[in-house]
Amino acid sequence: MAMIIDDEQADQMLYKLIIKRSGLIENTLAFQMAEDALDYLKSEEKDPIDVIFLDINMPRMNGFEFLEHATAELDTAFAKCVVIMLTTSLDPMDEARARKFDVVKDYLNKPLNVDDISKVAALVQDTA
Amino acid sequence: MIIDKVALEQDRFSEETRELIPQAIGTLHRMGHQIEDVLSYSRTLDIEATRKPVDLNALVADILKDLRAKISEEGASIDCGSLPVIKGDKMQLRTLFQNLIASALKFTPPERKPVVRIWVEGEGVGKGHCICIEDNGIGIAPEYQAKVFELFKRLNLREQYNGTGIGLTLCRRVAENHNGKIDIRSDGRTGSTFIIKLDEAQR
Repeated sequence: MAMIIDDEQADQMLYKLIIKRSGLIENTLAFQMAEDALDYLKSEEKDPIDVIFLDINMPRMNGFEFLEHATAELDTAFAKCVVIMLTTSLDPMDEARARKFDVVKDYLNKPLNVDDISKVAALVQDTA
Repeated sequence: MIIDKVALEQDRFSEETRELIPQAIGTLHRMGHQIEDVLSYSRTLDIEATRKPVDLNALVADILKDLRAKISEEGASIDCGSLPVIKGDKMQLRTLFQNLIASALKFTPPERKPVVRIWVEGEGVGKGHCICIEDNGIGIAPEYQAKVFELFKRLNLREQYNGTGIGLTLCRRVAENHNGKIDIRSDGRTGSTFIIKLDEAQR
């Protein structure tokens, strides 16, 4: 199961399209607000998440704040996921900041392509 | 735009591709807005602020004329009290008031009609000017009041309230260029008041 956290509907559509095309990930769960994704991860009946595709610049809670909350409030169950920061950010500081989180295994720039998905699938295999 | 030519031939595409066309058009428009806003931001910062007397009454009247279509479309009512003449940069001050008045009109839930009030507080007391712009919109919760001034920071999904997250950053810079600042008063539900403090003291 892959989780997508991105406020842009157009971007979400593209992820789903690419993920579908790759044939490597079966199910996706999408959230436009990071708070909602966090609530889901805190809930009892959540499905195990293999990978989270996380955007940085989002309204209210941004990607970094999501990571801070998730690492502080959830433990191992969340840390098993591979978190990939997807962004159009041109700021190299953002990448450095993202890599400080152990749970962030790779950092990709938009747009996502099928090769990226293969790379992510391999990462998920490695962590499993 | 090139994408419009593509759209003309959409019958030849698969359904999956056809669905991408409106998305592409939307994204292009958004990027266009973003570039315009970034340019306006950098231009405002680039040009040294002049300091000449600016009649805020005339300035706001001009802005309201520009926003006339929006105002009647929304059924908004705007009540503007008597404003002072201040020393400052006309272009920058126009940007400041234009952005704040447009925001006041924009962030209103669909079931409410925008009511915007503009007035001056404590005029003649001390050196500076304090101008308030109040709306009856969705408000800004206290924990986000400092954040809204950050570049590209937005609080709402695009589907609800569109924008590039540049406007308030620009407003703050204009206020700072005029030895001033902007404060927000809001309960996060029933509206916001932007309090613009401009100081006439020369640097």
